Amino acid sequence: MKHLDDRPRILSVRFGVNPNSSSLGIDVTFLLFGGAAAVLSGLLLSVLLRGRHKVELHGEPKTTEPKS
Amino acid sequence: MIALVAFVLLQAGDDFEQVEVEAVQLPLEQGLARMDAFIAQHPGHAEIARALLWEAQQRITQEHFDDARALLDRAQQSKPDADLGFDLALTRADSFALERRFTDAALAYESLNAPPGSRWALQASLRGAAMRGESARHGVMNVVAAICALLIGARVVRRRRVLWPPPEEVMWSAPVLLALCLAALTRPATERTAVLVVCLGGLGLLWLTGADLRQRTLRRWARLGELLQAVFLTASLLFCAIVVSDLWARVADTFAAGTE
Repeated sequence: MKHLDDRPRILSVRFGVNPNSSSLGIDVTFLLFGGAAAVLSGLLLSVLLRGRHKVELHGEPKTTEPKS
Repeated sequence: MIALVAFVLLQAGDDFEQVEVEAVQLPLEQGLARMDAFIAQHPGHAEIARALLWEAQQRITQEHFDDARALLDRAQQSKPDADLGFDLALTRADSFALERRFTDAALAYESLNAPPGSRWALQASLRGAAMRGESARHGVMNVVAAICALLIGARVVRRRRVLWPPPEEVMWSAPVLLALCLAALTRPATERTAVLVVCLGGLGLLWLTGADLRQRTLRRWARLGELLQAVFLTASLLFCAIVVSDLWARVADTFAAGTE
């Protein structure tokens, strides 16, 4: 008779993982495409909101208006 | 003394399968040394090509690809039977694929000339198609990366004096993108690389774009051009990140079958 202790034991459990699937996990999909979406939205907002007037930076040499 | 004689006899045994079992059970370098000893002791053995193939496969797992192909050449010179010849050719093509020499791998799979319907023909066909795809994608990636480098390089040259202080785009996006990077650190290397390339590369793009645009006044068509450029640069960054980290097939499966 085989003792209960002789049975192979489950060493770890991972929920929501299909070892036969070659798809990306939902978390990596979110990180990858979420990162790209964050970058794209930042760039689009930058283009849409900026460019209305030039910003004067501290320390930048000022351009002098020509005297008429 | 008896034990020593028994050990020497065992070492000099000419049963290849026994030697292979011993070599597999030993640590890798000791296993290779055991197989080397067998090859040196039995240069005319019928299984010498199989022994060399085993050694080549171990060298491939160590990523010593040139050594592996030298062993495969030696095996080919020992006039193996036809079946083993196909195994040798397939292993050689696999070594190119694992070394990321995709064009060489595709050519090696195509030149296998295995009998139609055999397992070698099937494997060569499937892997050859995958390698042709990889080769084409890397070609496209190189062109896209060169165009991006030109666009970004022009901005760096134009605005290198006004990169500091960082623009608001960076201040607002950095916490989100760095949080995504931190979350990616727990993932396997390929996935981690892709996320880091997208987030850190994107942060650089935001920095450059913000520094450039705060120095300009945009008219309507210039603004449209900048919008298109932003979409192109982001899409290129994502594409390059996926290709460079070998995730293309998995991303395609994700779109076809949904996430895991």
